[in-house]
Amino acid sequence: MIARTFDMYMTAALFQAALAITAIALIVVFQEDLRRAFSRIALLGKLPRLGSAGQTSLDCDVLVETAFELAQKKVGALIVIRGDEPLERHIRGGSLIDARISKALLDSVFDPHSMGHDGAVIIERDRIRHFAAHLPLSKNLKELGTRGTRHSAALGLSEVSDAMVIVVSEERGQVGLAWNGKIETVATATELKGRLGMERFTGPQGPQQRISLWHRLLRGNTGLKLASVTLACLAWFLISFEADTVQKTFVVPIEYRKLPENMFIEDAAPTEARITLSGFERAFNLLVPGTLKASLDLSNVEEGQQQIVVEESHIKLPQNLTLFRVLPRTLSFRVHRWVRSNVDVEARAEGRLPENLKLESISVSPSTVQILIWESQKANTKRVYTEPIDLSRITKTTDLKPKLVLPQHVRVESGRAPEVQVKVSVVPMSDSPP
Amino acid sequence: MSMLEDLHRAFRLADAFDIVFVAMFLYALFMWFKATASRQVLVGIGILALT
Repeated sequence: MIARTFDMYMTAALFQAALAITAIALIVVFQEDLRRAFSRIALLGKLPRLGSAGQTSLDCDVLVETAFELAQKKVGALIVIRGDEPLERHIRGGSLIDARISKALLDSVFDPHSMGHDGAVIIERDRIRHFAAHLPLSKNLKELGTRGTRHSAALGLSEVSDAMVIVVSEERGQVGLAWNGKIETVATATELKGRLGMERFTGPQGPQQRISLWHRLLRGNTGLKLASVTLACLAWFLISFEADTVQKTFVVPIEYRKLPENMFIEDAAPTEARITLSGFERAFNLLVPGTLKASLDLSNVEEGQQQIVVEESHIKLPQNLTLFRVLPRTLSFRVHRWVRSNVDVEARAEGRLPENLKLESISVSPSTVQILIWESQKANTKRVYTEPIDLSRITKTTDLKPKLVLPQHVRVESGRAPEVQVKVSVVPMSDSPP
Repeated sequence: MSMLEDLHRAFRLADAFDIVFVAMFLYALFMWFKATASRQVLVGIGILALT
């Protein structure tokens, strides 16, 4: 932005060239965040369950009681309560299990003599799904403080997923709770139960759950929310707001629609119009000029000269653009109705026969044809003619197949002119020398 | 005064939605920025973008 403002061409070009590399670098650096963002988008369909996180059937008393008993005995433990996001890609090692949660089982898993006591237990709904699992370690030393590896694992998983992790320290005999990239010590069983209940186990039936979505939207981070709204307003003012209206002219095609099948518009009808639109510049930015057209409904049109005034209703305009002017304002054209008619066929002859021949007759077969003709011209059109027959080239009685020459107001139904046969009968002149 | 009138004239319901969506996007971005461990990288990219 600065480079462009001060016309620093070389710097601007350099950054432009580096844009693609930067995009790739961004994907590499933030791959975990992006992966999580996409997986959250995929989970949007589960929004109504947010807060309950599928754990409503879990009785947390066992977990709380076990955690504090282990803390009292200074036995380390890691208990992961899965949220909506899958954990598989964050977990290494351990063994799969499908067991009901019980104090005895948890005591046994975290017993220092047990093989997997250093790992984590993963709880999904009311079942233990995994034990002795290895979790990713956190690099956030500020949040971690002087806590050890077990706490680092608890915090690490909470940073990359929506899981809650109960961690029991074997050195200090304290219980901690890691969630959403934060870890804190929980002093009493009641407090832990309260935290679990508030964040994870509140059932959809409770009044707290019904308001929780709005509560979540409105509570906390007021400064950031205000800053976001202010920045969005400022961006709208700088980018979108315009007080001045703009007029732009476009040449658009005229579309004559729903013309009855037996009707015909004379070729002279206008095919284009110049329309001038008025509105804010941003409205023009959203306009695709190729989609503009004037569309006239001719379903009720009558035969004869027509005059239609082009109005805004004939042109489909985007919102916030108004029709300022149309040229031509009035479209003038003639509509004809096709009717069937039987007319005579007449051979058109030109030139003169050779001097030694005398014309006896010219006959046409068939003598009449059925044609389609403009209704207005029906009374004036009694016959149609063949293409000219050159008599000077006739030397004897001849059969010819000339084409019919149809005027503009005549056409044949099949689209192909019927064949006609012309017989030119000649006889030698009687006074010609032998 | 005329500026306010212009604002009133130009502001549509779609603009309100526009602002709400952009604000939500910015808020999500800020929250991500706050949470991500790589925020220093974002600061660097921001400086580059401004340049």
